[in-house]
Amino acid sequence: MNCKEIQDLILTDYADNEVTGAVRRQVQEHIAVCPACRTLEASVCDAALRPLQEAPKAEVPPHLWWQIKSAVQTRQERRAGVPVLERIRHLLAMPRPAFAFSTVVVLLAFGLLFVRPYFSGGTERRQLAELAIEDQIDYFAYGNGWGDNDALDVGIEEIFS
Amino acid sequence: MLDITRATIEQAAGGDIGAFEEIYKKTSGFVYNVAWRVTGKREDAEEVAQNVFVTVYKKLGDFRFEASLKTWLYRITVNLSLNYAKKAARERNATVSYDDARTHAAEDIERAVVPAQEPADFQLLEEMLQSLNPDQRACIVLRGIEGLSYREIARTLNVNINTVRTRIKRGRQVLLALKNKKAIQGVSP
Repeated sequence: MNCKEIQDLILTDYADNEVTGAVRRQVQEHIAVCPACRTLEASVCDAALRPLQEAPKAEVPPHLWWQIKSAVQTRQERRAGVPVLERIRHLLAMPRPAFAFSTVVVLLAFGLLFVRPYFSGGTERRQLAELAIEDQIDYFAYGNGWGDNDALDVGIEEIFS
Repeated sequence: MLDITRATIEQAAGGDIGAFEEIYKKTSGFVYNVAWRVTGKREDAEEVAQNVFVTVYKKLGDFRFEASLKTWLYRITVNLSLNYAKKAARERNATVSYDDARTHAAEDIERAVVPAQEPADFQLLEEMLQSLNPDQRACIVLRGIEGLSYREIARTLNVNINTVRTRIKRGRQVLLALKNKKAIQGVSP
C-alpha cells in the first residue's frame, strides 16, 4: 500500500477498528517508517477522535418527559373522546384526495351510462336521416322512372322525344 | 442492548403509558444527545426529542421486531435532527454566506469569556461539529460519540457503507483543517 491508501485508512477504517488484523499490521508497519503518515495518525487522534470520545453527555431535561406525556395523552384523549358521528364526519372530511378521486370515478361512470347512449343514439338518428335522404334521392332519381335508363329499357331521349 | 422486552413494546404500542415511559427512560439519553450534537442547540434538541417520542408513540404499532429498536430510534432521531439542521442551515444561508457565518461564529467563540474548563470544551466541540455539513456531522456523531459501526450507521441512515466511509473521511479532513487553522492563529485547540 502507498501513502495515499494508508492515509485513507488512517482517516477511516484504521481509526475506527474496521480493518482486519492483517491490514492493521500493514498500516502499523508503514507508520513506523513513514513520518508523514505517523504525523497524520497523531493529528487524527488529537483533533478528530479524542474530543468526541471525551465529549460530555448532556442530562435530559426533567420537563421533557412531561411535555411528551402531555402530547401523547392529548392525542389519546382526542381519539377516545370523539363521538361516532363526529368520527364519520372526520373520515369523510379528512381524505380529500380520496374523496376527489371517488367523485371523478362517479362522474365518469355517469358519463358512460347516460351520456354515451345519447351520443350513440344521435349517430343512429343521423344514419337514419342519411338513409331517408338517400331513399328520397333514389325516389326522385329512379323511382319515377327518370333515372336508370337500363332499369326500364327506355333512354331519356326517348321520353322527351 | 437496550434491555426492553417485546412485551413492553407491545404494551406501549397498545397505548400503555407506563410501558411507554419505560422505553423513554431507557432511550431518552441517547436520543437527546444525538439530537443535541446534530442540531447544535439544546433547545432544538428538546424539540427534536419531543417529536421523536411522539412519532415513536404513534408508529410503535408498525415496528417490526426483526429490526433493532435502537437502530429504529437512531433512524428517527437522526432524520428529524437532520431535517432540523438543514432547515436551520438554509435559513442562515438565506441571510449570510456560509463562510461569513463560520468566520463570525469562530470570532464570537474566541471573544467569549470562558469562566470554567467544561464550557470551553463544550464550545470547542460545538465549533468542531458546526464546521461540518449536517450529513458529515451525523456520521461523525454516530461513530465518534455513539460508537456505532459503519454498518450500523449505514443501516440507520439508509445509505451505502461507502457513503458512510466517505462522509467520515471528509468530516475528519475538515476537523484537521480547523485544528491547523487554530494552530496558525495561535488559539489552543
